[in-house]
Amino acid sequence: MKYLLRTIIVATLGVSLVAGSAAFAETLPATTTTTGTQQQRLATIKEKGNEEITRRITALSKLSSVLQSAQKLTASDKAALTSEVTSATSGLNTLKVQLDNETTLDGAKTDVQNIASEYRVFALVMPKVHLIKIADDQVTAEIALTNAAAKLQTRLTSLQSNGKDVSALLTTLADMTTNITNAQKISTLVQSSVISLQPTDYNKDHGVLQGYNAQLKAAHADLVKARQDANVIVKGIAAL
Amino acid sequence: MDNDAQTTGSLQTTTSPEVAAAPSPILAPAEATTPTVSTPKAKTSKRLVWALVALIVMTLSGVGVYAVLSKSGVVKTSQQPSSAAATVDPTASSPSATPASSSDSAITTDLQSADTSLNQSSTDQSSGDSALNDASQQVSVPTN
Repeated sequence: MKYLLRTIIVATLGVSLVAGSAAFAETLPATTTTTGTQQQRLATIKEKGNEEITRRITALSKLSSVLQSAQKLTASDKAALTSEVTSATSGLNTLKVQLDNETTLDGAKTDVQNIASEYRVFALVMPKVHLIKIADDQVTAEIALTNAAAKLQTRLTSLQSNGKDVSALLTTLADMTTNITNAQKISTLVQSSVISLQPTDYNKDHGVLQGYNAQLKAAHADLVKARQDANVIVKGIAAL
Repeated sequence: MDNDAQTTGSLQTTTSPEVAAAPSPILAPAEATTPTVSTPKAKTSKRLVWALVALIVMTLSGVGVYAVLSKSGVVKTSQQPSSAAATVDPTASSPSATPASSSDSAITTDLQSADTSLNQSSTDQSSGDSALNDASQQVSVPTN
């Protein structure tokens, strides 16, 4: 009897202890104070990361409109750049969902870093679209000026065979052709070099786009000179 | 009484032949007797008329000579200055001796196309510059 009573008491105390421990555990927060700070940091990273993703998606949307309204962009360049913008938008939307579902600080940090390193919207995609667009504008101008130069050559040759002195105009035409050729070299180089650049290229070398904008400005100046040469020739022909 | 005399013809008229032949007292004696002699005022008018005729003849001659010279290319008339490079039209009519060629309109088309592309390039340069500036200010991403 005594043994039975002792057993009951011990069992009762044991059950009470286990139950009490469980109840105590439920009333405490799931994390310690340190863990609470981490939760707060996780929420902050998600919030800031979402803001960054939204800024990039908005910029890509504007870029898409620019591409669609571009008149001088070649069909292949327009297709390539549009595909790149669409892919980046889709990727960022997926990344946003992934970031929202992150439960650890490390996972969220990696996602936020990927916003920049995986897409390079501001550092690469936007400058790239603008550079290709300018280069394509210039290629169109170069084609038109080359056609005009060929016709002016024919006209001057005809006038020369009729006894007109066109030597000065032929010199101007040679200058016009040189200016067009110089511009063509730059536009073609920029077009072929920039269109293939990817975020990984930028990650390896942050200076991949350096100098292209200045080169395109130089090419533009060459084309303006070529156009002025054409003016001189046209006026010269009328005055013969 | 007079009426009766004219109808019958038997009565003498009271007007004598001498009176009828006499010059009208309205006319001045000089005009009546010497109509071909000019006064100083008339001489001046004639000279003015001749001077005007001479002036008209000289003007017409000058215009005629100028027209002939300009048509033959000896004299070139001034052309309207071009307001912009893009507006030069080699097919525009001018007093030039060089006749327009069929290729001139094609040249104009090419140059206009070049102008359009160059203008677009300028616009894209400007918008590209501002976009690149905006982009360079937004590249940072918080990682902490």
